[in-house]
Amino acid sequence: MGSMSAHNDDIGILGGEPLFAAARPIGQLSAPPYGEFLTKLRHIFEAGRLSDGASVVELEERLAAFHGVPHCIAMASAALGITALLRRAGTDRTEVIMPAFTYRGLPHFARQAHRQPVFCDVDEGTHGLDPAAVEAALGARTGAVLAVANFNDPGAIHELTALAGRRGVPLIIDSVNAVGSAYGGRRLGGFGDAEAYSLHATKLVNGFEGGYVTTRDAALARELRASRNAPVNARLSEVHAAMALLSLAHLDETVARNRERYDAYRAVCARLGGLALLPYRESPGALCTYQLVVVEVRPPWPLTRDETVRVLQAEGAAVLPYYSPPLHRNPDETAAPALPVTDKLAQRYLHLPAGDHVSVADIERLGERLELVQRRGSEIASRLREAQAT
Amino acid sequence: MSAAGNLPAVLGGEPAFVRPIASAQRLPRWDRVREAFAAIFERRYFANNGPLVRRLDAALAAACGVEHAVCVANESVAWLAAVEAFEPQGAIGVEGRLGPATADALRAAGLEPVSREASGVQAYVAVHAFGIPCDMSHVRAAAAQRGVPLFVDATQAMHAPALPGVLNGDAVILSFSQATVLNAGEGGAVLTNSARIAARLRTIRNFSAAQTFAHVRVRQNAKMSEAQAALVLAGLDDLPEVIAASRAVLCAYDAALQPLKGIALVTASAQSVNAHYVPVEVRRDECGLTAAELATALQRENVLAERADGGVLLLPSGAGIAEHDVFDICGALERILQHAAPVQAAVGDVR
Repeated sequence: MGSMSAHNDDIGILGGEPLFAAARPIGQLSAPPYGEFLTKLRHIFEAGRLSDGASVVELEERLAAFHGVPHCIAMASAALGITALLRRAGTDRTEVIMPAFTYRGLPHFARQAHRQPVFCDVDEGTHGLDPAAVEAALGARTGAVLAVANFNDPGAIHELTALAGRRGVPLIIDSVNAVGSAYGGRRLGGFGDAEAYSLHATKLVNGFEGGYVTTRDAALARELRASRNAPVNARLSEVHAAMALLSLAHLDETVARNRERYDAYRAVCARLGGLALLPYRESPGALCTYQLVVVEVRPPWPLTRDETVRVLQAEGAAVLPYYSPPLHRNPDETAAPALPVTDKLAQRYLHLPAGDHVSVADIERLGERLELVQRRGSEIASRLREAQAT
Repeated sequence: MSAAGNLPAVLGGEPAFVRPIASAQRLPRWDRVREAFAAIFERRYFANNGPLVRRLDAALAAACGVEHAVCVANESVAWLAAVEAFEPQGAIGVEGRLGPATADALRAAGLEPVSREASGVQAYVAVHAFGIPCDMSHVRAAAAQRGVPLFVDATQAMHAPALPGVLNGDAVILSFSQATVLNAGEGGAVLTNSARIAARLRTIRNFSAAQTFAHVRVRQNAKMSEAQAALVLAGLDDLPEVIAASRAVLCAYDAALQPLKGIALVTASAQSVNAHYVPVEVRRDECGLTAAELATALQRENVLAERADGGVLLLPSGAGIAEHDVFDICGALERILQHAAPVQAAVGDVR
């Protein structure tokens, strides 16, 4: 959108200078002290193995301990882990039940495993799969239920486990955004048949790239280890594992910094009408990581969610809509079921800048800008909508 | 060579080596690696099409004499991405020695490897196994005649400078795995001269809206990280010197294996583009041992040979193997072959 005003001290979307010259991202992007990383890198070079080495083994042990499970299998990505899990279903069981209010990669993981995604609606409170919708969708061709545990709620794990169990279908949980969460007083990691996590740099534990699967099932763990070599190489490299080990070792400091930022946002949102933080669940056994900062946009906020995204992007805040557009609305999806709760939720939320490239001072400046946007809300809204119409 | 009459280790003789000798992973130079990672931590850009990945895409394209290089997480996802970019389905005709990893990846992508001469194929693949260029004239003509894509398996054939005619075809797959001459632990790339295919590959390898250049059906998290790109870039610089050193070792093997009956370098090994592998064919009818039996006997000499398909052994090669090691390894081979029958009995029914 081009300049809408001659005033160069105006807000970004109206032609002014962006608040942030360097974009403020939404991902964690933490880094351990470089000296510690260099030491680990030197050990890797001295051992002479850049893959299939000791760092991966140590990482698996530490992650298994963190999640309180007997088995952790490190992989090149959470995506390859989920695809390997989905590939296990019989060839006549081609459907994978999954939510449409989630990360855009999920249907692709199913297709990589030569399976077909079947989207089900979610519960308005938990944002996770609605057990009643899953029950209605379960059929003879169902090969797996792929649930998503979200940062705000792990979802109806007990009900989904019972449903999947009654039908003899595996329950796989994508827990990427829920690392540290707990269910029934127990940390996530050992629920369903297996759970998948990510070590991408934007996630809580930064391994550059990578992922891991946790499970209590020894036979499944053995299968997954074998699946790292065939049919598709899904091995995690030593350097990625070393980075993740250090990130895990410094987790408490990362979470403390996240908490500071989250508290700063709490103060900002308290002064604004209509931007409400989607809260973390502080439940027994949970480690609230405060990694993601997601707000709901609702009246009396004067702009829509999408207008707010544009306004903030024009300020150099690399905000994004949260789980939007919903996956069943992708024109490539031939079956587009009616998912009214999903459609409603997909209009509501956005990610605010978060992680280690964002300071508390940045958040305070962003808060002041948001207050300005709120005061001039109807003017900004009408100018945005006029420009859209022409 | 050893004195005649010495026993091989499997029959009670002294092992040829005190400590195991094997193909060591080729590591990039430490000073370059340290410098690259210091810069990564300075920038704090770790993944998502970062500056090093972009630099590597350009550097590989230049080194290999192609228009576009698209770096990815490993060679398997490179195959998946390449197949998705062209969307063939069904059978793929094979020219050359197809390894099990590539065969697995092609099947995972929905293609079934068949003979090059089979009818009804929807794609072809030419394999430069062990870095030895296969004759691509027939398969290139067949692909052109049928109007189907030609993939080139160069996962063992990374080299520099670019050799025209070797890296050619609709899509070339490279590997930067630990067994290769350009080792990043894990890594891969797809090379192409087609801007349309390159756009599809750059889209397929991630889920980001900002990195969407074409409409594709199935996408992946196939991104290469800045760490991987740093390791490949560090290894690319001195690739010609590394290859020159490997070539001297390969020549030494060629000479030392000449007197041995039933073991010889795979045909045209001297033409390998990187001399990174020392593949030998073991002909049981001439030497009295299978490749598996020979590998077991070598293991007792502390010589760790890797078994490849089709009766081929990969003898220790690459970094850390000196010419005198080659003579000692071939000396051990000579002793084993001189006692083939009792060796065969001693190692048992090995497959």
